[in-house]
Amino acid sequence: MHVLLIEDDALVASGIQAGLTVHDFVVDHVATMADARSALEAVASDVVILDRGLPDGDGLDLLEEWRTAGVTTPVLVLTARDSIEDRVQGLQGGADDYLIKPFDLDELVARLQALLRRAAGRSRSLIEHGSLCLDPVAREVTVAGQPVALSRRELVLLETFLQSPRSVLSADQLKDSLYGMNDEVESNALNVHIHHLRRKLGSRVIETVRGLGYRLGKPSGVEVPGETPPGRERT
Amino acid sequence: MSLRTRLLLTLGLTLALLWGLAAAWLMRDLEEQFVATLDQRLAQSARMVAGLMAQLPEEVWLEADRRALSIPPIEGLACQVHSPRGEIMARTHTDLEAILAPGERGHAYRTEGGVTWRVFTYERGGLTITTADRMDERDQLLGNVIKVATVPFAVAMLGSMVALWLGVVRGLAPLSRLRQSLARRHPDALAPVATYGVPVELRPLIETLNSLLARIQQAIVREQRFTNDAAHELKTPLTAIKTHLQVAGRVEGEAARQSLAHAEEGVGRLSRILDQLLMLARVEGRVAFEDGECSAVADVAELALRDTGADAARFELPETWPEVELALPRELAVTALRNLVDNALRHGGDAEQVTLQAELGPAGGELTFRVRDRGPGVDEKGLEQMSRRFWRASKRQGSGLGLAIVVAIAERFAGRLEFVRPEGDGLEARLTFPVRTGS
Repeated sequence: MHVLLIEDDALVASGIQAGLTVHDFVVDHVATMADARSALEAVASDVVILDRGLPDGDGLDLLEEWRTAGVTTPVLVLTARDSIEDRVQGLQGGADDYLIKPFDLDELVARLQALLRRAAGRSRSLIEHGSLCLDPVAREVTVAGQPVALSRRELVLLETFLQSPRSVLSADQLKDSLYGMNDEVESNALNVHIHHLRRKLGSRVIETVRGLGYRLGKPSGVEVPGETPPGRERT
Repeated sequence: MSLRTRLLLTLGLTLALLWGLAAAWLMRDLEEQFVATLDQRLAQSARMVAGLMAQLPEEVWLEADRRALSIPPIEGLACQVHSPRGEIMARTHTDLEAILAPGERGHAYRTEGGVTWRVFTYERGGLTITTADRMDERDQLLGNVIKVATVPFAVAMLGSMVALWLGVVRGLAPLSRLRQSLARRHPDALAPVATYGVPVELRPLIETLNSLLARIQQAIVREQRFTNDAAHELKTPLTAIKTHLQVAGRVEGEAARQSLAHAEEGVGRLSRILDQLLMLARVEGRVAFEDGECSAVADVAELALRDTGADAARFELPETWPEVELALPRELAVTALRNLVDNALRHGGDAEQVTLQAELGPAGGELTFRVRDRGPGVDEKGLEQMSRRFWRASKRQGSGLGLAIVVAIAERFAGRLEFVRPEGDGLEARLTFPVRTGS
């Protein structure tokens, strides 16, 4: 999951970045409102963490700007201002959640997961797709109750597909969810990850839409590891 | 005791006392006049009878020798005429011989059968005439007069009491309205009190109250802003520390070591901010700072420059410092100057020089340090905000308290801090302190 972190304090930002990376988030960090604007345009972020006191203004102004422009990306406002007025102001200004500094890393992760879940229109934290089940908090994938070992990137990729089960996702969108702005990405890295997912979960778990990108396969397309449905050859 | 009770009591008692005194005075005068008037009537009756007797023909007396004349009685008045020989010549009542017996001339009281009489004895041409009044009738009459005089008195007194009550209550109504409106207020409400419909006498009071409320409001807003800013400044490094420590618990090796180093950096920042907040609180509070060290200008400058920890080559210093002592503790003079120099170093560009000068004021009573950097300077808006707490020219540097501390020190020791934009680039800070005299 791709997080855009807008925080002016370098020390706090590096902490959040390191903490979220541990939890398989891909984090892009910017320190000013101006950078945040261009970052949101350049990269498809799944969720935004927004600090209020930024050097070039109040984060809430940026939020209002985005909401007016129709940006629906969930935003979690992070601030040291803890008065009720401030919180109400933040939530009314279009924030989806509000977290007060200093916070617990686990709480931040749980709130981000909840925002992503809500954005995907789900109410439970487990994501199910046929016999496939992904636990975004525990970072576990099972098929028919059997755990499947996936690498970190594979899991993030699968999570991205599961978050938007009916959409066709372009290669760029998928890369954004896997890598930060400053990550070096090899040109065929995405293909390799998709190939691995297909190998571990069945070839029909991800469908290729020619010229457009990829899409999550039908629930019945998920294969139990070690089994090959009759009449199907691996491609 | 409330103002209303006091007014009512004072005025009520005074009025009652005055009315009472007037009434007593009136009663006494009335009684005296009444007695005098009735006595006069008694005497006039006697004289009138004497006049009549003198005009009666002689034979009347001869006849009277044998049988006393009977005068028709008048209500409440008895009369008897004696001849020079003591015989009763004429009388109104036959049963009052003893009372009306001739005695001392003039007025007297006589009692018979439980009834007191007022008697007047008059002698003319050998005849002795006595007249008498019944005292109980007199008393009844006096009683009636007093009764008639008292009623309007009582009514007037009662009326003035009511008028007093109404006047005081109505007159104090604006005060009680003010009291009620203040009592009804929420303890945090600092909105001004309405002056509409308030009497002229109360208006200055309410205006004073309102200006006090306004000042309190401003102070609260200022404190609130300071508290919010302080909370923000303290929570940010705290967040960094907490997050990095939590990360350190979840990763291993180099990453964990790095997180711990970051956490430590956060601790350092937090402790610097705390130090500065404490310094500010000490300077603004009334803590004594006397450390017994004399604040010679050269020492102050040397210590301040050493405290900044910057390379000596970055400073452009005067040949000699003025040989005076500043009238404030050395610790604070050093802190103030160091904060200014720190600021100049921070904003003056990495390799640019910072110029320090010190000059005595025109009368030699004060000394001004000039600290000039060659950085980008500050715009007009920035100049106004520079010494506001937690204001920073750029977000990444310092705690935003350094200049606030300088201002607090200057204010406490009758000094001042000014910023000017010198010709060319950069910014010049001028810190002035009074000089210790007699040294």
